[in-house]
Amino acid sequence: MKKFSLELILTLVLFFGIFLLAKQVDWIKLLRVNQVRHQTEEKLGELLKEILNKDKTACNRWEILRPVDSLLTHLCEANGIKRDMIKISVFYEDEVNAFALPGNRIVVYTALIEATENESALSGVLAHELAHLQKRHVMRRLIREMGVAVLLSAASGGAGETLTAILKELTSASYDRSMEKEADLTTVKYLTKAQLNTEPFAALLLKLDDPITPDFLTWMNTHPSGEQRADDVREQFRDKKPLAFQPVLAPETWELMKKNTGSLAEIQD
Amino acid sequence: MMHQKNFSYTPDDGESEQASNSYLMSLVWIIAGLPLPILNVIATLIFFTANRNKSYFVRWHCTQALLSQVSLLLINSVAFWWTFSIFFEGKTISNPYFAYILTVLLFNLIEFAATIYTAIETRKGNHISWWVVGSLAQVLCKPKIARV
Repeated sequence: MKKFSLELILTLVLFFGIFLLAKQVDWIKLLRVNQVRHQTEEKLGELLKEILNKDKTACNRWEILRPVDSLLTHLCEANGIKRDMIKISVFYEDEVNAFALPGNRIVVYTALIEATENESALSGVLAHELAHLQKRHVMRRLIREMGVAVLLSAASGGAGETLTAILKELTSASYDRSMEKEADLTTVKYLTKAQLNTEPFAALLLKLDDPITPDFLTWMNTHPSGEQRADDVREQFRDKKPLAFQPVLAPETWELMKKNTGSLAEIQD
Repeated sequence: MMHQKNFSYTPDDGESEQASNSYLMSLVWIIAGLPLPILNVIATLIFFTANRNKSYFVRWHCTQALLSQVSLLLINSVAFWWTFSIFFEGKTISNPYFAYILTVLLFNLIEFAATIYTAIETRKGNHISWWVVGSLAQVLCKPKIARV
């Protein structure tokens, strides 16, 4: 038994010794893991955007794109996020929805812009999607739902049905509670640093929870338990000194954008 | 790692074959084609149970084969679930993960080579005792004393 104990201890020392030695090597850099991951996400994002472009009408109106871009740029600059890393697209759609795609892409539907009452609320939505991207929620959720193998196959030009399923997952199903909470708290942080009011975002979350506003059902499904989340957002802000909120857009720019949102049929009319 | 020892008696051909088979059972995962760490343990456990009343030489080698698989099960299970969490739960891939997988692969490779070597030698009737598990097998497996 003594011999066994001694051999066991020596084996354990050998095992952990090799492990600790191997741990000294930067495998992530050596195997270019981040580079491969970045390329895969980028490719997946591009393919998903292509599907959206086929199914929906992309908005090219500067009256909408410029203010949205200004709000996102303001958020990124205030929070030390490289703006050129984030790509944003707006699509004409009656569904009140916004979502993040792999490859640092944010997609906003015009109906959501129409539904927001001021720039802080819209910034809140953008900050929320930005938080999902920064915290790697999008890929983590896709891996959890679909597995790495499916995603790699889709990114390398796999079946179109897989890509459609991924898009459906990202636009209609929900993140888990912990991810949503983390994204909400990060949203508050982003908005506060950008000197934007968090209250309209909390009010928007409450509005989404209201069953009598069926238009909001889509975004509510993707972001569950609005009342609790609104309370959490307000809680974060409660004890802090009120900031002098800094407007980002001129009132007329906001108004012009709102005039140009809505369904494609209305715009074409 | 392992060394040839003199056994208390010379096993016959049938015993050598059965003892050798106990090691071959631990290679069942190649046939199954699945990297599930539990498969090898189940296969060697079934073989061990089926041969628990056989001769001392057969029992001793069945015990050693089973113990070697149980010890690998521990480190392989951690590797399996760590990999699973990365591939299916979105956990972040990290340097400790690669270091652990490399270490586990190394130990599995050594065990694989040792299994093949021991299976061949045992078939010839030679008694091979492994590092750690051989000593434990010696403690756990005793010759049956004939009752008068």
